Amino acid sequence: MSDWKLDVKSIGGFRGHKEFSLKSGLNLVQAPNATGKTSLLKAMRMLTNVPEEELIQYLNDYEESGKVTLKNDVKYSVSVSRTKDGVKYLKKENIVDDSNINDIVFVMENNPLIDYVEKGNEESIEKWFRKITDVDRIEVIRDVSTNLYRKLTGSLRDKRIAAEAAQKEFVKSRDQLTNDIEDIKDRIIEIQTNKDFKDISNKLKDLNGEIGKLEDEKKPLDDETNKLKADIGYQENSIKDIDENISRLKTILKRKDDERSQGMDKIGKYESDLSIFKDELKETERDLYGSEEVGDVGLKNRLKDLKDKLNTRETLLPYKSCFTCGRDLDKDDLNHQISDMKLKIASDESKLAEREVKERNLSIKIHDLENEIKKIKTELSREIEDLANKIDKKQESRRGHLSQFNRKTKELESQNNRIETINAEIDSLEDQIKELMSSKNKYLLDEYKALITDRKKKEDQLDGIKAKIMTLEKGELEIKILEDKVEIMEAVVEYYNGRIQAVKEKMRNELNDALMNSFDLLKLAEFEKIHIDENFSLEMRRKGGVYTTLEKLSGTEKTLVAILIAFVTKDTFFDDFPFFVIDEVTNVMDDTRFKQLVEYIEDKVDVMIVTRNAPLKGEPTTLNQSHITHDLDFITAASV
Amino acid sequence: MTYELTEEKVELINNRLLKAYRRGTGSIEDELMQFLEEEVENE
Repeated sequence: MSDWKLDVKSIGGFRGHKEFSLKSGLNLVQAPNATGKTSLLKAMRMLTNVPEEELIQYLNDYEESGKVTLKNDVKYSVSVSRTKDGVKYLKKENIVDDSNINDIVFVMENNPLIDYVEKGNEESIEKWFRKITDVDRIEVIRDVSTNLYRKLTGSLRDKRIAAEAAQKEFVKSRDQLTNDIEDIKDRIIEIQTNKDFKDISNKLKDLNGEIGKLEDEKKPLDDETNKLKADIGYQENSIKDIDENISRLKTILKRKDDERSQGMDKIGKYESDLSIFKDELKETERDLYGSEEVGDVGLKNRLKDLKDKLNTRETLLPYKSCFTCGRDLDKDDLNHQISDMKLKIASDESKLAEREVKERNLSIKIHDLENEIKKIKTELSREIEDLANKIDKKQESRRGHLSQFNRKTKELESQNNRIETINAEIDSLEDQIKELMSSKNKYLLDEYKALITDRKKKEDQLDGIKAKIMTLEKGELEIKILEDKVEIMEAVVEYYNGRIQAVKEKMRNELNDALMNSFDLLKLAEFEKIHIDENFSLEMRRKGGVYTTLEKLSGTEKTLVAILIAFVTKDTFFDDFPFFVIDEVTNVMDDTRFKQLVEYIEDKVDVMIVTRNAPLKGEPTTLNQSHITHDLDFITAASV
Repeated sequence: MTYELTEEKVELINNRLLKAYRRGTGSIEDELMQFLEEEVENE
């Protein structure tokens, strides 16, 4: 087989790409501390499906993504990428989906098997075997299945008991009710065929039939009566409303009439006032505008003349003589005249203003009085006339409603008479029924009635019981389904019980065969036999058949036993997996035993990787191909 | 009903229960109940 190519990118302490060539058989990695041995092993471990939450410990702290590929004829590959929450897988190729493989192919310090063997913890080793062989999981599944089977069986038993009890009770009730109903029916037939019963029931039937007919006849009359009562009520209410209306209108009419009478009294005074105001107005106008009869030009014209004269005097004042008559002017006299005129004008203007105000006020008073007189004479009369008309109309409407009221009342009386006649006939028929019911055969009627009621009651009860029986039948289906489930679970439990035994036997036998095949290795620890018993306990015998325990073994012997168990387990369960790693745990061994161990295993796995510390020579260098050797000659040389 | 746990069914239930086991022991019973419902319906 050609060499395996291991390509590591950004894992552990490695940044960027790192390539290693691994040969079939032994690959001994010897390098000083802190050069990259652990990084190389981290890369290999990633090919055994490390849990995703642990990947953060694998990707180089400075890188965002990493990849490991191991390739020969087969390719194993895994790539990872950093996220905000940690590191996640991007792709896996040919990665074994089994959480046990890591503990088997990597024999190193933190391997639990190495820890258990070194501490002599036999109980943990048994558990380790149960886990590796899958017996642990099958037992859990078997136990859960058994519990479920017991639960279903218990539930089935309870349901059967309850169903049987209920069924028994319901069937008993059903049969009893059926018999009772049959007895009632027989007695009913017996009564129905009795002559007295037939007579009495026929008569009753006839009487009730007649009453029914009369009731039918009465029904429309009752309806009609109710309708008439409603109509009469309506007419009564309408008349009442109209009366109230007329009364209200009459009150208003009286008030208006009173207003008009009072107004007519006022008119005389108003007209007298009006005459006085008109005379005063006339006089005032005469003062203002003058009168030809008495030869007065009026205050306005006089004032105008006086202003013209004043103007003339004021015009002459700068001159020495009059430019009209040529007479010399007496300036003092002129000034005196002007002064008098101004006083007179001021006085007349005051009078004029007073007269004008008086004139306006008198005009307003006259206008108001004329309106008031008009209102009293025309508007009130019109309103009174309107009110009288309204009252007449209301009276007419009232007469109409009263006529309707009287007519309907007569009709109602007639209907009541007819109803009373029918009621009397019904009373008579009911008296006949009473007489019949008090006859000596009445007991037959009572019994018949009681039997009919009882039969109905028992038939209802029977229907209820039948419904319950049907519900029970549905419960039978549930029981049937539960029975099927119990049967299936029985098969499942039986299968897992068998499977546990088979797996235990098979795995134990295969492991024991593999252990015995490692006889050469056993001799290294001076063992005659190492055996796994039926409880997965480790049984060890030294030469001569002497039993021993882990506690009694030396450190080297314990390491050998741990490596041996890991190796045979890998050989048994993961034979196709290409590599097996022993990391530094052999440092405690002497060279001879180390060499024998390696020589024993190297031919039995495809790639065996063994790491050992080497002393530092010169400057530290990153792990590279030169640190990997493929033979143990140096050990031979050292031993010699 | 005469129920037979065939090889196909064994493989089916084994795979389902393995996944349930990984989710937690409590899921095994749920998975079994689901399996029972399906089988009763199929039968």
